[in-house]
Amino acid sequence: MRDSPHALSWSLLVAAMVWLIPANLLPIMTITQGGRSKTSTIAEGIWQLFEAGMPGIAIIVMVASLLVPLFKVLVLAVVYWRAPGETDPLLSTRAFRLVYWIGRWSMLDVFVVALLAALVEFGNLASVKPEPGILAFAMAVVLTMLSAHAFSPKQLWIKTIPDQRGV
Amino acid sequence: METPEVKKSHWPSPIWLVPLLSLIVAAWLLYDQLLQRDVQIEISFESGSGIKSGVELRYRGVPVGSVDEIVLSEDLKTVIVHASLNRDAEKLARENSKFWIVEPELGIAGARNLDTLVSGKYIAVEPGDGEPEKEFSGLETPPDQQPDLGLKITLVANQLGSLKKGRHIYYRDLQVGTIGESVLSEGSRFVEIQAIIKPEYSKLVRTNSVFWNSSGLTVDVGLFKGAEVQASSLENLLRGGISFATPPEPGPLAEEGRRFPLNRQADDEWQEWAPIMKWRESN
Repeated sequence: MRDSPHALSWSLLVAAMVWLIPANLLPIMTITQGGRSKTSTIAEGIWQLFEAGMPGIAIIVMVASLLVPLFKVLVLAVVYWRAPGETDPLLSTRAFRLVYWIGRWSMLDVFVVALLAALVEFGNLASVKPEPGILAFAMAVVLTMLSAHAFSPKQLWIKTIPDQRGV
Repeated sequence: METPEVKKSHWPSPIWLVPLLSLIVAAWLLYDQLLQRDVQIEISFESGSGIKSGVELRYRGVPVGSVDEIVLSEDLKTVIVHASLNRDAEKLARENSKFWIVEPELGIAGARNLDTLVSGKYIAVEPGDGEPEKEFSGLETPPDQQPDLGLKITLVANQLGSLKKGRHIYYRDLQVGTIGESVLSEGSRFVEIQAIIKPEYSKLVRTNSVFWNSSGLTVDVGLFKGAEVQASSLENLLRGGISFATPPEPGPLAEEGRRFPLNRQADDEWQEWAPIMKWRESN
């Protein structure tokens, strides 16, 4: 990997993977409602939505906050891995473009927590406090986006250009 | 034509510092948040008035944790306070640890915990001595007013007067015990007052000790001697209490549950009794 032309993309992607661990294990926010405080991680939040009888929203949150970040990181890893000897550049390029396109929506969770924390501030009645998990989540999202940005999909097509072969 | 010289570095690109740094910071964050997390404890109280989330737990006046959540127990008979104790105060949560709600006390004989009027109530902790524990049942009154330990005797009086629970029992105006629950006697002719003498002073109570209600003020007006006013301490006068004395020839130690009559006032003679009783010696 050291000699790979994608060292920058790779390193940022690995950093993003590292940050995904605390992002999913640590609580992302504390909601205080009527004197009761609840600190929850992403998974706990999804489970609470299920229990509250909102399976639709629970699935949306699960896809947006749990599956998509993982999916992005995994797809990028596969694309980078296959890049040096890519045999199906079209598929790879499409997958990469998809991930790149999702990137702009990934800060949604962070945005929601930031908005809630700023807007819901009624002391003991109701308040929302961000927790360290959301910071880790934001780091993971930003690093994934930077990693994708650092990658040039042109590299995927090198093998298909006869002149460039073997360079 | 010159060919550019290609140098291969043996070191990986410095960009790999980013994941390395991420790894260190993320690991520290995980460690800090998961392993250094506050200790969660549960305390059950009969009533949770004035306690809300965010209320402090204090030990020796210093905050050591806070209340997270208050829920009702399944049978609706108690409230369960979920609290988190700071990591460094973890040792406070062990078997026999005592938790009680500190609230302001205002009375003519004195005021206590006035700071809670402004800052709100808090939960005080007194560490126990056993194994670490997570669930506790809170005390309704502070432990120093908690008449649990000591020699329990029953005083029989005609009238309860102002001898409410928690009032003190004095020996030579020194507090040596507390008044507990009062009930009517079987025939409803008397009031039975439970008195608890602190264990260290239990040797002062003998079978021939006399008890009297020292809450009153005795005013004796005579034509030739003028007025004679008698009262024990002012606090006693205002709050009510019981005093006792033991005759110069002390009898055997009073046993648990013994009944004594409660006199309405002291004989002058009783006040002068000064038998030598070694209260400090151990069994």
